[in-house]
Amino acid sequence: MHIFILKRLLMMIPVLLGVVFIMFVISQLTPGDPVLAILGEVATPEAVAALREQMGLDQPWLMQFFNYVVGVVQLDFGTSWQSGRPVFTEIFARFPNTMQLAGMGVAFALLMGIPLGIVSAVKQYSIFDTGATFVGLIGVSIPNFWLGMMMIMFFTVTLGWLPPTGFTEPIQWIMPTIAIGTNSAAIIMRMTRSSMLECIRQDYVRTARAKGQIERKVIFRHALKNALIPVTTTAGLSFGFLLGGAVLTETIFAIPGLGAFMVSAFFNRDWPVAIGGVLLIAVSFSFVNLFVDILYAFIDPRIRSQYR
Amino acid sequence: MENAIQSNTDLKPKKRRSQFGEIWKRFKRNPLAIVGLVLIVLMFLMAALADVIAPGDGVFAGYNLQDWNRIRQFPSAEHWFGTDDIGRDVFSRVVHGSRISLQVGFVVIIIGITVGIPLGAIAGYYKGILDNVIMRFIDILLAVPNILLAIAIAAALGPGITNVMIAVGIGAIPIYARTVRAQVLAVKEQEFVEAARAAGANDFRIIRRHILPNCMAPVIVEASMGMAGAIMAAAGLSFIGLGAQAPTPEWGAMLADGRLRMLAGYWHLTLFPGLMIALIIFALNMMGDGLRDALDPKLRSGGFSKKRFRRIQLAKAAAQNNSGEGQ
Repeated sequence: MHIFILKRLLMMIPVLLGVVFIMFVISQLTPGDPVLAILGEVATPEAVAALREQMGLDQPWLMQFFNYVVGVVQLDFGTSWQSGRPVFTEIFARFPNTMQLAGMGVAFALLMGIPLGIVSAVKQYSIFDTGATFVGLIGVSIPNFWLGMMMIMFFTVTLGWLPPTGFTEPIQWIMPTIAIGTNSAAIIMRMTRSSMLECIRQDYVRTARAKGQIERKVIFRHALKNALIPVTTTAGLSFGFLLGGAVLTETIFAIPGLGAFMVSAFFNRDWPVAIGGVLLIAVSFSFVNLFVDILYAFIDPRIRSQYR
Repeated sequence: MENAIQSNTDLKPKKRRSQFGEIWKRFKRNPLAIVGLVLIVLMFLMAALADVIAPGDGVFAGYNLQDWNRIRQFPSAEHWFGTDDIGRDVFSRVVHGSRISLQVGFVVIIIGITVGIPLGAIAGYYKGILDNVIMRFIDILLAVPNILLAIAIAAALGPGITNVMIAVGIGAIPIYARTVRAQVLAVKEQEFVEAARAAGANDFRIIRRHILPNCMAPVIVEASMGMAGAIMAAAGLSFIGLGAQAPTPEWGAMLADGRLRMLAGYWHLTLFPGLMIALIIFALNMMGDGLRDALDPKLRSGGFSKKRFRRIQLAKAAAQNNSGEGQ
């Protein structure tokens, strides 16, 4: 198991290097000169050359890439071209909000999705199942940024119950969590339902019933435990989806998170911030996927024996 | 003997359906899928007839008719969806917006498929180092959340709906590459591939004529679901200002405009464009579900369907009735 985790950690390195490399290529494709953008068109050539050297932009971009990677290993993500402050402090001032938002979104998705999926599967073709399936389809289809706006419209403008923006008080967490988590809740619900339906029809479930096991135990101990494996994968993937979706949700609810910060970095061509942010999100996503793989081992002993 | 011949001629030749006919037969049994298909057809009609439904007056296109005497009106009999900040009819803009969203959906899928399918096919067919290189590249693309990758590319290329299509399209490549690779790995071990190779077909012909056609079912399903995702992502990018620029009536951009008036209570500016995005995605997802069930019963999401159960019951009942009449 330890060797498996170590292997996976090592495999992350080339992928993350690749992410940084692709981001560098993208930044190179961008038209416009960042130095001129900072100094303005009327800057003297000397000033331009001096700043270019200071920013390291006088070197070939492969060299810049190399320097950046060397810096990242020492937790030096460069300085923001916009604010002049270290990217590391800028990003980590906002990252907790994004993680909290995505985490609450996943929690909401699991708390809604799994129970609804189980009941839907157990009571297949009942009115509840039809309703839940239909609501699930709607949930998958609603754009999270629109849902957020509609909630503000209803709960803030019409009813006046909830504050429209901010992220400091727990009451401000309600709408962003629902907005960001609804898509994933619906996806997890659909996944749980179909996976449960498959498991309920397995021979071992029939065996469990035949030997007189009470229904609740049949469902939860025999069927659900096996049905949860694909659901775990989906939940892990939705976490990455939510980290990306945070960009829009943070914009709508004016949450001071990494997503909204990165959007402005992209708009201002502040590449150190943009690359650092993308890298951090890719790292978190990779760790969540690793965590999901480890979780499999706890759910399923057959998988545990494969981890070598 | 005579009896045997008699009964032989009695047997009607089984009506052979084309593969498409079979799929259609299964597809149309699913009411939700049909609703999805109808909605999509209506959406296409709306896009095609946008200039008829919401005509302009020569100077301005229908979606851009400004009237400063009617700014920010709520929905009425005259303006079904109300009017916006500069007195444009929201209904006209929503109708014209369908053109853009459908176009985005198609272009993104085409980019994803034309790059993703060959990559996946090559990786799955040749394996080895080529497979490794391609799949590591795909892993890198997958390590960044899709919308973030699209934002990065769109930001580098500059705002505009074409660049959004390219950006979202690149983000769509990994899904198709992975799906096709998995299929190719399974299909290439089958006997008919070996037979084709024995008959002297070269690799390109084997992949194109023998393997890929047998890999298409999940790709078609992914494409219909992927189109929904593409439309949602593109609307999101337009919403944060990277996509369609004014005065293009793009639904995501309309939401961004409407958001500024949201707290003032002008709900119609955000309700209708968003509703259209949700509706088209809803329709595509329903159709995708139906296609999955119709194209490959093995991929069924719901296991043993109620319809099938009922059909078997009906068939049994019919058989009993028939035998009853016969007696």
